[in-house]
Amino acid sequence: MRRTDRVWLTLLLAVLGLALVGPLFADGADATVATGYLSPAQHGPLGTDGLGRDVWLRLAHGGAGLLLVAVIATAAAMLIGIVLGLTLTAHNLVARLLGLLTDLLLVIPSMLTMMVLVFGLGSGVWTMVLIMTVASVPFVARFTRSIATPVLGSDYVLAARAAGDSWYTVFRREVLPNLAPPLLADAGTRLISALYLVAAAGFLGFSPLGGDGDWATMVQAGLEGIRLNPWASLAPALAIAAVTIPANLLADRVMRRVMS
Amino acid sequence: MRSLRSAAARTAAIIWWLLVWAAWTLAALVVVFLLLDALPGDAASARLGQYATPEALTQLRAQYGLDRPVLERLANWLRGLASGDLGTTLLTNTQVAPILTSALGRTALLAALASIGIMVLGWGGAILAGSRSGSVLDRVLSSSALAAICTPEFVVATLLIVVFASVLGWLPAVSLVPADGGVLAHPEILVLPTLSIVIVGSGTLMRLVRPVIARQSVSLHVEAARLAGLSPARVLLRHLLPGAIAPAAQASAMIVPYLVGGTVVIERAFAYPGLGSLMVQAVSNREPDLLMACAGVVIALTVLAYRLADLSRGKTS
Repeated sequence: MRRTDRVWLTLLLAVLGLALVGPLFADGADATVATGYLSPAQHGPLGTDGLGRDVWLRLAHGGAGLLLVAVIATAAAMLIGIVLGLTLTAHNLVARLLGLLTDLLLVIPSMLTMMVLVFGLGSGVWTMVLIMTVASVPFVARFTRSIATPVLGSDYVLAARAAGDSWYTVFRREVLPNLAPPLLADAGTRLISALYLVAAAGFLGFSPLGGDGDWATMVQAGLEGIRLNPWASLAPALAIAAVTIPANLLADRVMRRVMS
Repeated sequence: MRSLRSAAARTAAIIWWLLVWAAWTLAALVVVFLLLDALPGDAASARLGQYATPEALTQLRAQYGLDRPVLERLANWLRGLASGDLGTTLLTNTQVAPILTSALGRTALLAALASIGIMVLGWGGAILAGSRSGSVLDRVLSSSALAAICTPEFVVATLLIVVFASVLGWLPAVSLVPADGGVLAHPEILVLPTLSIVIVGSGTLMRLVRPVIARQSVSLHVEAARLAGLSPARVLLRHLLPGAIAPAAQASAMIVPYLVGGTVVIERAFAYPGLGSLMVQAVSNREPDLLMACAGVVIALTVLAYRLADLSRGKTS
């Protein structure tokens, strides 16, 4: 592991630690403690937001939900996407129709998927999970198909089949172990894009977790008072970047190693 | 005679290409329309909120025309689309088409300005990095591109607002368009939104184009030109770029889907009244015709980009 990687990993773990431990100690994140948009010089480490709430406490409180939703959505998308992708490797009418539908979903940008689903379902945690799942599944499915096709046609799978093993056994023993490393690397990429999407939803004002306590919604809400206390927007914005940038760089490195 | 025939064949190929593009766009739009219909929330239930009694809902749905069968509404909508009628908003009963065109014009202006910056930075970075693959410059440029891509657009926008609007005070933090004039009367409101899109977009473009340049850079004829002792500039302009330009330009098409999503967020960050803001408004106010019209633009553009990029994949493989 290179030194820069270690620095990124440390930063990532520190922010994730704050996000996960924060809700345990940050009581009173929703309480008004002072007047609105006080600068750090006037109140606490990071000042107050528009409603006079402590930005530091809200920062400690507002990350866990975003991360958790992204993790749930990624797990769902990987599960559905892998099953769909393996189905797509078959040569029959159902597989071709599913493939066409996957391609059709692929040309609908995830931002539009989000708008349509928020329009029809309202916002909230499960809508967000659904949005990110719908947006990721076509990509996971195509990726799974592309890496599964050579494995399914390989000599050792044919040999196992010829030796009389059932498809289930072949899958468990021969196919899945070969697919696991690239799929795990892909899951990293999907997790980051899920986090992006839920953060974008928060920033657009769709309150992805209900309420206004998540980092992305904080960034948006703080913009109007940015001249008085920039930290109300800046702190959560930097926190989001401190997750996405290291995670992305590390995922990119892992993906390269796995695919080469 | 032969040239005439090949011209006809080329025209036929272009028409066929456009037909497939239109078919994909329409198919995706029909999927979106049916999806919007299948989901439980509609304009009537959103408008009534907690006051929704079954009778009030039935009445409002009839008033909005939502009680008719979905296929009939779809047919009506498609007929309207063909004749340029995009429907009306439910809340204010205004025509969607003029709202869409003015918002689209403002977004097109923003996108045009941003594309210039993205092209210069993205292609410049890709050529610098790709022609010396593996060098220190390549590593620095590639990692900064990756870092730019990894930063959500609104984080970039927030940082720019803090630096240029809040600390330095050079530029406005919001891009409100004055009621009495166009955007061009106040060009300063375009600077920060454009810059935000350029920063993330050029990173994305560089990542798409760099591999194409790098592949060309180690090809035999470029290697031969280098060994013949030609100057680096001459090798680049005469031998490397001519072969790289077509596939790289087509790879660049894949930046469009990204730009669509990024622009929505950026417009919201600066309260810039373009297509992205219109979409957010369509969702918050539950305006189906408005959302479908915006979806049409977005999907048509995305399909176009995918078709162009596919073209390059078909050629290189």
